Amino acid sequence: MKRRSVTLLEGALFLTALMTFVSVLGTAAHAADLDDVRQRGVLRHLGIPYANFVTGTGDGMDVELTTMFAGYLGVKYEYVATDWGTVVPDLTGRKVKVKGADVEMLEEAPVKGDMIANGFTVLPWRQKVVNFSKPTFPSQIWLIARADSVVTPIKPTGDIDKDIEATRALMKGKAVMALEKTCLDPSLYDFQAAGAEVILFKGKLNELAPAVINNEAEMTILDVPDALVALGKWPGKIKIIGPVSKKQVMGAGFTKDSPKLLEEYNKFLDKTQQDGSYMKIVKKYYPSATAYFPDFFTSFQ
Amino acid sequence: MGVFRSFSIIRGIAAILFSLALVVYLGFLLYSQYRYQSELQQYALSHMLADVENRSTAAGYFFAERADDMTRLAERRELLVYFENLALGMSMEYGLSASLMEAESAFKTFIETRKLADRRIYSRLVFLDSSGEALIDVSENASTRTNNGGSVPSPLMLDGESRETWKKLVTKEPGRAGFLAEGKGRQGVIILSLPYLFKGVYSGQILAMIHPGLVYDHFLAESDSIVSKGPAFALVYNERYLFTPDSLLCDRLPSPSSLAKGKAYEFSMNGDDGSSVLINAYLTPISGTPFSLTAFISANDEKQPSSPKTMILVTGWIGIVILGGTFIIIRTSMKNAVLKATQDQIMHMNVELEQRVMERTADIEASNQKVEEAYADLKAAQSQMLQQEKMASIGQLAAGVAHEINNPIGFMLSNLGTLGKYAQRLLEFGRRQSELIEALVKGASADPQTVIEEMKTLRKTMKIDRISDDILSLIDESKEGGERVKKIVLNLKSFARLDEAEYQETDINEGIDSTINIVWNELKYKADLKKEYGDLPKLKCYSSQLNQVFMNILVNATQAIDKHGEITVHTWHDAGCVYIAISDTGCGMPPEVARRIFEPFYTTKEVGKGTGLGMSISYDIIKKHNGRIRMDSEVGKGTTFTIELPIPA
Repeated sequence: MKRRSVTLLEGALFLTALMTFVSVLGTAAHAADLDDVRQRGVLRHLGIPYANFVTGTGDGMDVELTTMFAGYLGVKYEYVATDWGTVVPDLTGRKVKVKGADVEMLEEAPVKGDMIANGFTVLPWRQKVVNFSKPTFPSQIWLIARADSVVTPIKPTGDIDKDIEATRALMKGKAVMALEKTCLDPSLYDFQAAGAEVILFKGKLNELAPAVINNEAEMTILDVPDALVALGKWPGKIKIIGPVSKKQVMGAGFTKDSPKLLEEYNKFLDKTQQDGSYMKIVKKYYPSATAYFPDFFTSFQ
Repeated sequence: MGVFRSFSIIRGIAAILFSLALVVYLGFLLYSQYRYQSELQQYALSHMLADVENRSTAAGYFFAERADDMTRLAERRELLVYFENLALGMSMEYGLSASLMEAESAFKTFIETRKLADRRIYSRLVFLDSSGEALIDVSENASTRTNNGGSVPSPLMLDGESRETWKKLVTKEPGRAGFLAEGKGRQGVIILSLPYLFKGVYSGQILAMIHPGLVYDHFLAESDSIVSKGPAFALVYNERYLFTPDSLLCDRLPSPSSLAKGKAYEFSMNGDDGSSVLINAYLTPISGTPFSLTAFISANDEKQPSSPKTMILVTGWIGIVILGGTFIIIRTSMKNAVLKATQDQIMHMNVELEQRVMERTADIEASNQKVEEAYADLKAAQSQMLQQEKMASIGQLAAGVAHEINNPIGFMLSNLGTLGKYAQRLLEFGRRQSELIEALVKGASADPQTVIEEMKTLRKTMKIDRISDDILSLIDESKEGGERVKKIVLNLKSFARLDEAEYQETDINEGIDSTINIVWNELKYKADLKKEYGDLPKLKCYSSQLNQVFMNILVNATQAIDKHGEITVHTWHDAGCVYIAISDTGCGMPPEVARRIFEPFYTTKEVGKGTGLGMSISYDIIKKHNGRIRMDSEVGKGTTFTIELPIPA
């Protein structure tokens, strides 16, 4: 009996080691740095329909930029649809559990893409699992309310900290809708401390504004690019109350194993920003963005 | 005669009648022409007035469309969204400015898309809020958002004191756009003004500006000069001329208030040629606007555009022009013929010139050939001279060396001859001794004592003892001679440095010594040599070339001494250079000779004795070593050559 239990233990250990080895081999086989992408001849763009970054109808600022990047590399472009819950595992091959600024690595997952580009906000926990490119777009998180809400927009003071404080004060006792695992994750902004009743939205990021209009919550948070799109789509239906975050930036995400691909993307971004093609795309999809973030865009105009 | 006379009378009457008929016919023709011209002009005038009416109607439609444009602009969704968001309390910092930018973008698009014959209709669009602040202000060339009331380009300022100007444009009552105008001519502007109401409340004013030149160019532009080319038009606003063509100066024109619709106003003005011209002005209002159209038509154009006098004048002028033209053509042809002849002459001269140039070129080429040949001859001669100098040096060298070698070789040969005789005698002595010993052994000679005595006698007779002593002395002497030859050869090698690379570190004193040894034969009979050598550092140089310099100077020094003198070789150095001074107590040189001593081919020696290249070559060698050579000479006292060679850092 003793001999049998030892054999089982050894067998279990062997299997674990074998699986780990196979897993490592598998991950290595899918690690997509520049040489792999060029050898494959295809750049796989992980995207989620969101604002005008990825419209869901085949275009968008990030779709155009990534298509141009594929052309720059001399490979074909391939769009790989994903969602906010799986976008990181689809890139890195590991599932994650986010706790505020911390992230816990979980089991493995199949790698589906070579880069993330869809208004992907640079957040501390994301920086721990992916490498971000140079900033591709500026952002900020705004509190949005239904037009008939009794909450009235703040009077800007010129001091962002005071404006955030005034906005958070207006959230007290109000139902505020947010979306986990995105830049609108409530844990990032500590809404409970503001006294807000957080409602975790189960739909897609693009559906937050219509959900507020449909009375699913009185308020929600949106980042600036998405808020600008929502204002244009539903004029008179929603109103912007004020900011809940300081300025943020978005960037393209790459695995930690793809330094060359990241470096090439940064070179490509510099080129488009210098030759004017970047600003052409920005003005096409976010014509009013330059008014809110003049500091970010001035050097590219 | 009577028949002839009556025939003449009849002929005269007939001529008179024919003349009268001709005059009548001409008068009829002129009258018909006058009537025809009058009717034609009347028709032309009515046609022109109809044209003025049509233009006025077209301009009226144009302004009506612009009023519709204002209504459409006020209905733009972007403006509505802005006011919706404003009403919701949104701030510019958070959301509202995006709405305003959208509205501004819509205004820009509006300016860019509204065109008339490829020209933009609106030069500027402005949206004033209810307090009079400009929220949107976009112009044809650039857009400027001035929501803080900042300044915008002329012609209409929207800030400061000028704000009073636009306040009169504000009409808060809903309805169609109203028209106003400011300024005049190219600086003028037509303004459409429409109140904007949001949810029934006055919320602002839309102002659109049109350049009156656009209206003029499209609907009115006809001619630059009414006096000579037909009608001209002016745009009138509030009893003043808003836009007139450049040829019509307003102070000459009648005041628009004195004009009435459908009634001609006659006035005169100076024509293009300075003469007074009668002008008729016709006023036609543009319906639906405060603007009117005034047509100016020359009275001459209306009544007698082509009178007989004018026709004669015109025909005369045409005749003169044709004659003038013919004259010019003939004159031009003649000039051309002269020019052609001149051209032929120039071409002929050119051919001759080319021929001459070719001949001269051939001459020059031949001369060049001769110069080249002469140069080649000169080069050959120079080469020959250099060779001659070389051979002279070699000869000098060979003479010295031959003399030095000749002495030891002489006594060595003499000694060898003596040694040969001694050897024969010794051999003979040996042979005789052998015979005596052999006779003794065979018993032919019984007394050994006798044999010994004979051998002693023989030794004495043949002077064997003296020969034995002399042989050693001769061998020692010959060895000494051989040593002397060996030393001369070594000196010769040292002088020529045949066994060393060309440019290398050299002991200058050693080089001077070897040179002295070479020329010693020539020197020793003429001068006492005094060496004052300093302790010199080794120098990198072409030692054989420097030795050649030393030899030239030493030989010259020797030759400068008539009977017996002194030659001093002094060497020393400082931090930068090594110095070699060779002085003689010879005859010295006068200044005219001293000046030319380094010139090539300059010599004071007899023809064939010197090439004149020795000191020139020496000068070049020292230059090649970046050094300097100086000569100080005084007639009757002697000459000193001082060589200065730099010590490399």
